[in-house]
Amino acid sequence: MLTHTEFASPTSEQMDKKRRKILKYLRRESFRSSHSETFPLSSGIKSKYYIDCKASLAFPEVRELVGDLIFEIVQGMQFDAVGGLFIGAYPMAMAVSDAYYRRGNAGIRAFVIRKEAKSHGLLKLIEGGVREASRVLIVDDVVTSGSSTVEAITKCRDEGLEVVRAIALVDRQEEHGGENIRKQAVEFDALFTLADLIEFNESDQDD
Amino acid sequence: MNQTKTTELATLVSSGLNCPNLQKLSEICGQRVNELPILYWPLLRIFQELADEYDDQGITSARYEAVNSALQSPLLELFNLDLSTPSDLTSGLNRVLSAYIHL
Repeated sequence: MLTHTEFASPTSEQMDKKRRKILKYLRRESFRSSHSETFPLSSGIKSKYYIDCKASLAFPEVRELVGDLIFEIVQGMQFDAVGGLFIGAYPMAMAVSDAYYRRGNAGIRAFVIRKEAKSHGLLKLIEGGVREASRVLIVDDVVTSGSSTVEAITKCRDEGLEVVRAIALVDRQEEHGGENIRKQAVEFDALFTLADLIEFNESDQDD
Repeated sequence: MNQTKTTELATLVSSGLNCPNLQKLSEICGQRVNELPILYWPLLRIFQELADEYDDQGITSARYEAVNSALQSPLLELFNLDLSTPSDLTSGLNRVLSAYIHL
């Protein structure tokens, strides 16, 4: 069953406004729907809905807003770097790293994890100069089955990093993605759910 | 080349180049890459790249149809050839690579 996002922390009016702005971009740039199940998903099943967050994250305003919202959620949590699996996680990681920089913390690195280690050269799996034993925040653009996020968590742990939390831009809530991530003993949140996107009404915009 | 070696690949291709099938095709090609690199290495890269397009999510139905329409036929032709004959192997593989490049 699709549900709306809920956060433990109080949602301020300013955060609501930022969320609505991001939703506006997501609906316009990233979201497609059909009356029947026509969009093939990675699991092999078909869905009525298609989401390509990269199209929205291409805009600097979206990256800034996403960074701000994630900062609000994780502030107070100690971590050294933020990243996830290539390619969807990279603009998210940059957004969070930049949000910390805007608030005077220039030390949060953004990193990206390759699907496979390079077969030549330095054979690096994680790009971004993350030091061993660092505490890391995992991000992802869309969670469906959660396999990308779980793979990111596993690879980080294999490299000796400590995963403190995982956050996605959108949880499709169709294939137990959140549940699969939490099974890794990692707290997980999504800024939006598929239901948020489906029911968003642009005419409700106040700006 | 033993024809039965490619039967499994042909069956998967026939049932559609969706993400689970692409992952299985990648796995099989990866296991066989040392047997015949000239065949299995390019196929492995193609199947991996196509599976990566899903990005733990999905693709548009138009893209799915385009992939199947462009690649199913040359792949099945390739798997039906006598791949122990170098000229058959190169011409069959060329058709697959040309279709993929233009996809």
